[in-house]
Amino acid sequence: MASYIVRRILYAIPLLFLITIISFGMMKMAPGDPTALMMDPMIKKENLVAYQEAYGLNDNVLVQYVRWLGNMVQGNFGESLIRQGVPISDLITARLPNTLLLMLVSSFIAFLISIPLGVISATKRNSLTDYSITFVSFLGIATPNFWIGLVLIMVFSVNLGWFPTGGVSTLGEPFSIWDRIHHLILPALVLATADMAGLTRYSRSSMLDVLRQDYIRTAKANGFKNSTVIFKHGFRNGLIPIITILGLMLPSFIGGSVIIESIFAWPGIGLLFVEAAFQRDYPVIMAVVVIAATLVVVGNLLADILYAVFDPRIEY
Amino acid sequence: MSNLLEIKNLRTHFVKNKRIIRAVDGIDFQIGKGETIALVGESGCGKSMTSLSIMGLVPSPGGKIVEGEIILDGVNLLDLTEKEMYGVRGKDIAMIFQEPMTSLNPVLTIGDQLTSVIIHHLKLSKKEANLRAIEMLELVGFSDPTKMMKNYPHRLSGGMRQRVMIAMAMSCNPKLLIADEPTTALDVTIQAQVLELMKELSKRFSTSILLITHDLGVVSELAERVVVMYAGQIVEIATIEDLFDDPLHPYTIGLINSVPSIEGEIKRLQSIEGNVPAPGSIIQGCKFAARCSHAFDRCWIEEPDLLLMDDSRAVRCFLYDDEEANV
Repeated sequence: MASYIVRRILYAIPLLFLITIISFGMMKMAPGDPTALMMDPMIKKENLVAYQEAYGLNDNVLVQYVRWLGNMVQGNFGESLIRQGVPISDLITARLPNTLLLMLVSSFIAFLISIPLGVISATKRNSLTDYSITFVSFLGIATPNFWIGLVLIMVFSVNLGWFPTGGVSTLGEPFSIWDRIHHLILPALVLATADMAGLTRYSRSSMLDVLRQDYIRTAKANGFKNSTVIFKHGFRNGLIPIITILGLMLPSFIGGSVIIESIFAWPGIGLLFVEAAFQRDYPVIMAVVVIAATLVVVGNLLADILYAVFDPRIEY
Repeated sequence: MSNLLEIKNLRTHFVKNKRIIRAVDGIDFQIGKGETIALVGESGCGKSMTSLSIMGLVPSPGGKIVEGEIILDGVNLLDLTEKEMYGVRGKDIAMIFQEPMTSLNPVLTIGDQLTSVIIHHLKLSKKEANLRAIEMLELVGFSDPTKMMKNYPHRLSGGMRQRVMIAMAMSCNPKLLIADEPTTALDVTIQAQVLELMKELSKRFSTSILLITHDLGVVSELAERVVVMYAGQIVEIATIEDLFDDPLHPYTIGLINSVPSIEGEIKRLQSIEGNVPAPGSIIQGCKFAARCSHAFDRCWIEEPDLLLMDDSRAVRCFLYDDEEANV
């Protein structure tokens, strides 16, 4: 098991390397360079050149990339161009926990609701319950979740006043768990809806597939009652393909968090990314892209490991 | 020999695309205590559906037992509730299936699967169930049963898995073992081992066996009596000797002739012309008439009844009808 995990981590390294190349390359290809933003447009030509020289912007691209990568590996992402003097690593350590919390809670909600719905749908196949769940799922797939976010804000925050419209906590109040949860509910719910519908459909088809298998018939022929057959013999098998989906869902959660954090003014890396993109804050964009990509790679790694835990047929 | 299982006028129908398919169309037969009976016929003749009907596992929705009685030891299984059937399946009637490769749960160990059945039916403690499972695995011929308990099914070969299935089926001392094509998916050498094992265990525990197969070689190996089915009906019942020495129904004769023989002169292998009627098709007269070389006028109009020839013999064919003999 340990050697399997180590091997998987080693496989992930070239992938991360590739991501840094793409991230760096794309920013390099964008027009202009950081000095164009940092400097007064009226600056003298020779001074500008001196700055470019000092920042190393006239060096070979390869040299620049290696320098950037070397710094990043040591945890130094450089400084923000807009908030001058603020290290990006500070920005990220302030923002990342918020995003991780949001993602964790919303994926928990998504799993807690979707998987049981999918299982119910599969066991009561072609019943009214199944059709209702299917209908709502398709509705969920077809509805953009930023729209759901806006509607929920309008109904629950503006009209009913049950929840705050955004932020992670009430400004000026001391830290309290309840306050945090109160702020978390709406954005987490909306982010969860992004994948809930699809996840329900996946769980349904995975369970349907499992319930058709011969070993389910064996379990029935052994006299186990229906619920035992479904949960003990069916569910663990049905879960295996769903774990794969978990790995695939992470990118969409990160993509979704960019939108949801903007709507709910949730100070996570998604919002940081949007702000940086609008302000052409290149080093921040690059850092966030690398971190988001790392999260996806780590997520897939976790899914792979879980996969091996749940399916004895996978050899380490 | 008293009867363990009596099936009376069993009819299991399916509804597919609003058409009724008579998968099992009124069959009667008995299995004595300790007796091995073979149910023989081509694919789609209703033999597997008969076994699922006995188990109360007819696929639903769609399938339904519409008529008949299945009496096991004096109790009509069709009168039992689903909950009461939980206690019958795996305990009084156990079943082994055609596909050993897929019939075991891939994520549970052999030990888990065996002990859960034993605990469920025999109400033993975890420890006792473990001992019982090890004993069963030893009985079906595993030399290192303790190690086998911790194995997952994917590490075993087809023959080994089928032996595990047999161990599981026999673990609660069933009165009746239904074996649905138990050797079809196995190598020939393994087939013989598995058959030998079933024979030995049934003798040892005096378990009755309902063997479902289309392989007459397997039938001659194991069965005492044979029930031949065609298109959801029984066409002939005979003892194993009578069946091979003197088959009566043209379909049975066709089946026996289509088995290659090792002895005797080399001749062209015979087959029965035509196909099994499509499920759900409505046929007037004898269902086999279209493929029968002996068919005459009456066969196309009337449907023959199952004629009792003597105590152990019955055939559904006008050739043996006294009326015809008189003509």
